[in-house]
Amino acid sequence: MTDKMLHIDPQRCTGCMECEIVCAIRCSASANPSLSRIRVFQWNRKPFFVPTACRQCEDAPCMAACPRDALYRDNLLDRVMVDYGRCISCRMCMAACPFGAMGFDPLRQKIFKCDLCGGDPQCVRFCYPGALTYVPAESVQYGHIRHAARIRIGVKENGPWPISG
Amino acid sequence: MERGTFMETAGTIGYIDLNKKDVTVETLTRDRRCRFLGGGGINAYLFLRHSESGIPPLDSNDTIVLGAGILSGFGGGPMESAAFSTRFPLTYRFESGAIPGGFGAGMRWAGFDHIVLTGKAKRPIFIALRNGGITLESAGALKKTGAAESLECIGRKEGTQGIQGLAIGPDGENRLHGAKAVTHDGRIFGASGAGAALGAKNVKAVICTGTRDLPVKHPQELLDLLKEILEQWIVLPDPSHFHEMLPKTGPEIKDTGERKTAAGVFQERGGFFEKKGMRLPRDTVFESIAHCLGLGFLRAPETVSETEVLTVIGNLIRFASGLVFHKTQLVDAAFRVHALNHLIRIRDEQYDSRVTPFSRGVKNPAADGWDKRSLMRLKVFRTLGIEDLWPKMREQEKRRDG
Repeated sequence: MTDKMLHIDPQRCTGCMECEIVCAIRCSASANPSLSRIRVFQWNRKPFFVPTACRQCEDAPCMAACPRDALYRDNLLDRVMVDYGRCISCRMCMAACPFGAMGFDPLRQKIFKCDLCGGDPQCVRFCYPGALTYVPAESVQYGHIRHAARIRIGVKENGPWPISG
Repeated sequence: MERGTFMETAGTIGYIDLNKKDVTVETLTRDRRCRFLGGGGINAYLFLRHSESGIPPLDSNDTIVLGAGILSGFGGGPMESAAFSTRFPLTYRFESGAIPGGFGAGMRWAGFDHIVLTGKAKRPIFIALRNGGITLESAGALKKTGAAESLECIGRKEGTQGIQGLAIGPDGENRLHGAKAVTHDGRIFGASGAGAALGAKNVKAVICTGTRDLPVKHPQELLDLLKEILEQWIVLPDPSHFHEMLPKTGPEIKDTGERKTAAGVFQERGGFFEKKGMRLPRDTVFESIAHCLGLGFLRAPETVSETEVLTVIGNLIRFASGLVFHKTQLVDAAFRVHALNHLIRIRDEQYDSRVTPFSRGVKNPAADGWDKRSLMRLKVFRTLGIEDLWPKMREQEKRRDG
């Protein structure tokens, strides 16, 4: 069991969309961002970019919605996986997911979701601004704690929000 | 080449006749792909085939070719560029400019590799490439609107997230000679008059939407190689000190494996590539290849040997599309593309003395074999592998004399 998690910091995202292409290449063997497991949402055509990926929920709505129990929890990497032998492509999980993290491939008629690339997420590997990080759960809040502490003691520090971990 | 590869990666060329509002679609042949790679290379070839000689820039009969490279859309990130080829009004000669950003990738996802624009539209229009189809739509409402605002209006109307495109502002509509064009992500290009060239055809914008698959042959190998290039060639600042933007010295270049001596067709000699009396500097050859690949901002550090750069580029193409190019083939393509660009300028010079047959990176054209007398020979055309263009060039010379 790992304690690592995919942490997304939208304040650092520059909207280069490299993560989308890299994810599609790694997971679908096709350079097509519509097949990407991570999607970068541009807010109202303004320079605000919010990357969205599967949150690997503990009580996952997609698992609850699946009529064939095709979605299961993999405790080794703490993630939700799809059993394609059981999946009937009914897309109930797409309707249930509150983040829109489930995707559908119209060519192969299969659903897809983030599987954390087996513990080495490629989106994190290619995210140079540092908006995506794969860090231990305990160190996610360190960036925020550091920022709050800095304000508390009144120390000035240049630059944007500190990186997590 | 790996089995069944070419049909998957075969590109499409869209010919748009703006006079008649007529669209023709053609598949890119394997021969052209192997000889000119893509991007600026195929653009120059299409320009030579489909434009008449002696037409001044901004004329209604002039041709514009937009082209995506062979590696556009394969995760090049900061290196990516598409090619914009026309006669530019400010410099008064044919050039292949780079469109920075993901426009080339957008074109390929929309189903087109190259677009040839001929003629002139009667009213302002914008060209929409959608999933393998081309439509010409009215842009009357966008007249006198800024470039970014026009793209935003069109994007709202399309209603999808992933829209790539380029647009011109009022300066381009009024054909100011230095008018630029703007891409969807706010990058400006074409300082020598790309906006004016589009404005002279009454084209306000070109937009691409689509989700065509670009199959990748060896995904994990491609990602590893891309990561290596980004880390070691494109030197990036340390992300933990991103705000300081201090340049970081790159780590030592590791040996990437395959290393063979370049023998036969070309010889490396003191930073120059030579081929049967023609000479090109190392940087010009690499720029030319990079422009054809759709990675116009790929620059190799000087510490990396020529053989290694060509090996890395060959591996990139093989991992992404499955096409196998030998190092000599890549250098041949660079010479061919350079000669094509030069031939177009030489052809224009015969009609208009204002055209300067300038050759990038070549200081002494006569000594390096790039002047008209040494280039315009059938033997040289055969060496370069462009003998099919010989009748066209001869015919025009005869017409001028007659």
